[in-house]
Amino acid sequence: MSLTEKEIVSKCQRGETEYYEQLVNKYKRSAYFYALGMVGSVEDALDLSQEAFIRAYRSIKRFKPQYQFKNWFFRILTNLCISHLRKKRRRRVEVSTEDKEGRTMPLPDDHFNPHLLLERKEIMRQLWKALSELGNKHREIILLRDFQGLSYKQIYEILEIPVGTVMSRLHQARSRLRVKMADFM
Amino acid sequence: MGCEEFELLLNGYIDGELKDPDLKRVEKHLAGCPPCQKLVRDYQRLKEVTAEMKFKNPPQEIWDSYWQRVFHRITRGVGWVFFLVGAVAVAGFAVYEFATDPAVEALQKLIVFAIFVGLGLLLISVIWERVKASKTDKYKEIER
Ligand SMILES: [Zn+2]
Repeated sequence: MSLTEKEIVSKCQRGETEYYEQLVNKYKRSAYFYALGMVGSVEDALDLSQEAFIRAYRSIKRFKPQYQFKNWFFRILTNLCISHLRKKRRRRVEVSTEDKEGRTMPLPDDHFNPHLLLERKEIMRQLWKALSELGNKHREIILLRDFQGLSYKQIYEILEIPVGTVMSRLHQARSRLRVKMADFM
Repeated sequence: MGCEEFELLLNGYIDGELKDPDLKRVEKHLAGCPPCQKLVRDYQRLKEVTAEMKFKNPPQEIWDSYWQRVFHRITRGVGWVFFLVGAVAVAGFAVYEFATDPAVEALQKLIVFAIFVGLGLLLISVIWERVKASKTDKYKEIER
C-alpha cells in the first residue's frame, strides 16, 4: 500500500522520520541537478541539495499542506544556492579587485566547467557557458522553467514573485540568452 | 501596433501560458509578422536545448548513500541536543554532591565552583554565537 505525498508529509510532520526517506528519494535527483545548474560544482550541488533536505525536515512542521512539497522544498533549495553563490562572490571580491560596476563575474575555474559536467555536444557547452554568464535571477528562472519544466504558477510558489514578473523575467533572461547563442540560431 | 508590445507575451505563448484574449492577439500578430515568427522559433530552440541539457550522472553510490547522509545529518543534530542535556545534568549532579560534601574544604569548593561557572559561560557564549549566526543566515534567505 503506497501513501500519497500529502499523507507522507503529514507523517513527517508528526515526527516519523523514516517516511522522509520516500520524499528524499523522490526528489533527490531533480534537487541535485537543479543545484548543479545553479552553482556549477558537483560537490557543492550535492552538499547544498542535502542541506536543503535537512532544513526542510527541520521546518516541516511549518509547511502548509495547501502548497506542494516540491515547490516549498525548491524554494529552500533556491535560497540556499543563491546565498552560497553570494558568499562565494564575496570571498572572490576580497581576493581580486577587478570587479567592475556590479557585472556578473566569472566563477572559479573548477566551476561551470563543461568538460567536467556535460555530455559532449558543442551547442550544450555553448548554452552552458551562456547560462553561467547570466545573473543568478535569470539563470534560476531559466532552469526552473526550461530545465525543470515547471509552470508559471509553480515558479510563483517557489520564487514568490507574481506570474507577470515570472513572464517578464523569463523574457529578459531569454533575450540575453538568445544574443549569447546567436551563432547557433 | 508595434512588435515590442508582443515580445513579452511571446514568452507566455511558447510556454503555453497565455489565455484569451492575449492568446488570440498574439496568434493574429504572429500570422502577419515574420520577424516575430523568427523570434518564436529562436526561443523554442533555446527551450529545447535547455530541456535536453544533460549533466553527467554521478556514480550510483552517491544515490545509494544519499538518504543515509541526509539521515545522519538530521539525527546528528538531535544527538547533540541529547548529549548537551545529559552532560549538563551530570555536571549539575556532580557539583551538588561536591558542594554538599562536608569532607571538602570551602576553598576547594570555591575553586571547583569557579571552574564550572567558567565552563558554563563559555558554553553559553558558543550557543549564543550559533543562534546569532543562524538568525542572520535566515535573514539572508528572506532578503532576496
Ligand atoms: Zn511582430
